[in-house]
Amino acid sequence: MTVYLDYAATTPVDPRVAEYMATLLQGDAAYANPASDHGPGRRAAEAVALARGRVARTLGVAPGEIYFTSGATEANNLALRGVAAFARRAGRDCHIVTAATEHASVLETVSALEREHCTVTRLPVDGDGRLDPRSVRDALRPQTRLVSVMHVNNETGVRHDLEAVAAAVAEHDALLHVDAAQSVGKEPLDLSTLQADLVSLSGHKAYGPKGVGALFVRDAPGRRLEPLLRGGGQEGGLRSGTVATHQVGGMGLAFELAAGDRAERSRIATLSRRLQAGLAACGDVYVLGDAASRTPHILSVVLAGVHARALQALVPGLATSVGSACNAPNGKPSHVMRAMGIPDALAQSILRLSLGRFTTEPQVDEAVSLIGGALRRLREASPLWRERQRGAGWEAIYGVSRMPAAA
Amino acid sequence: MSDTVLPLDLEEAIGRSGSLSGVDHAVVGRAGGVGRGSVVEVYLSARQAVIERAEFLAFGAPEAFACAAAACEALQGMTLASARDLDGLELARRAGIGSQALGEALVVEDAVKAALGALES
Repeated sequence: MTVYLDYAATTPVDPRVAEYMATLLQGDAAYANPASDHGPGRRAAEAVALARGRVARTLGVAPGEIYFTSGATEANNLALRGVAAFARRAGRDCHIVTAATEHASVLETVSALEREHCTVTRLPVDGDGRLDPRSVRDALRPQTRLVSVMHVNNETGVRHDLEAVAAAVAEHDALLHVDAAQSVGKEPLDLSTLQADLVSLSGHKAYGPKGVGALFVRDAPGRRLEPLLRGGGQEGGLRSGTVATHQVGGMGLAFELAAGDRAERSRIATLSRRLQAGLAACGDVYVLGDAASRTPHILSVVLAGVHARALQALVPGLATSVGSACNAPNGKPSHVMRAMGIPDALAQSILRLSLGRFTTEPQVDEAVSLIGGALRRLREASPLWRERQRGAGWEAIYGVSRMPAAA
Repeated sequence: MSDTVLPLDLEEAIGRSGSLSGVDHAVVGRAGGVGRGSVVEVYLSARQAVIERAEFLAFGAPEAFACAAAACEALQGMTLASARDLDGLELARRAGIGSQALGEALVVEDAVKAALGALES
């Protein structure tokens, strides 16, 4: 049985969500087009409205501020391109501020916009992955239309100080977009107090299905977006296309369940501490990201002296990630690590472990045992470990000025 | 020799790792770099121009282990002259790795050549 510690890549669908989605797909519960003006259509529309209300309640916002999309990637694209296109249509210059550690769906979109008509400022982070809110304030210009900052980083688990970022943006005539794909159900996110204008959400990172997400758009003057997809005018004209009733229904229930489990964060934090302590006992293990700023469900570690891909291959019974799963197929070095000043050499030894709702204490102990056994074997075969045994420091071996904090 | 080569299992490859530190007349050749993703050390001992023992240490992806293990298996009993002809493409074929990991095989080739150079010097 595989020990699944890759919740940051995707979460298993909660069985209650799967069961509910099955009811929406079967019989006459919600098979019709929710835009159709007849009985079956109205039943489907009711299911969509229920889902919208559930997502909205989770975040403390109004249902009419939730626009369903195909996922957080589309939501990020809609937020960035939507604001930029509206500015262009209005004949205004468009400057976008973002951070160097954002998800590829943000960074690649702003790069594309930069080639078209926008200017972009990519803010650096410190060695612990933190964004200085003062740098946001300093980057704002009269032409700044949007500041896009993620809530929780998917590779390191580092949380940005959104309240401080929002305060900086509030002093300016710009919108704040938050990619919250990684945080719903894991970190508090109350949009009734946080002054974000646009927030991207993902279904499959919160025990819902893949293929569905949402963009929160605050109902206030000046929050105007051009749609990416045009056609039937669904989702208030912002996202045309027949709404996938079972998908949004699943996401709605998943969000409601995530919000209702208030003890979960504390349970995950306890498991995460146990995992970190177990890995620390293996020796020469280092943790990325400032401890106070990290969400407990993501633990990225440097396993000094071994290549993380070799360790992964040696423990097929353990599901983990090497860097970001989104980057894994192309094998590119992680832009997040580079932005944190971590050279590619050290990045080779980084393994990401992420915990979730179905992680148990015995699974954590088994993971520690599997990783510990693989570490011993790979280190015995490692020329870097041999150098270390002869007295060389990891800083010299990896060519870094300092190693991250010991686990 | 069969043309069909099965990918070398990582467990099996690690089981073949080791060093000849302390063995009389053994030499080591090192290649690669941590920043490039693989570091390989090949240890050789030879008698009368024939390689008696070949072992390796490796830091890298599974393909680096597979190529290094395949190289050491091939090198044992090989004449030094034949060993000089062992190149990365042949090592990749013996290890059963894909062309996308040829870089790992080339690092092993460089480590073998460095060790052969040390034997001859």
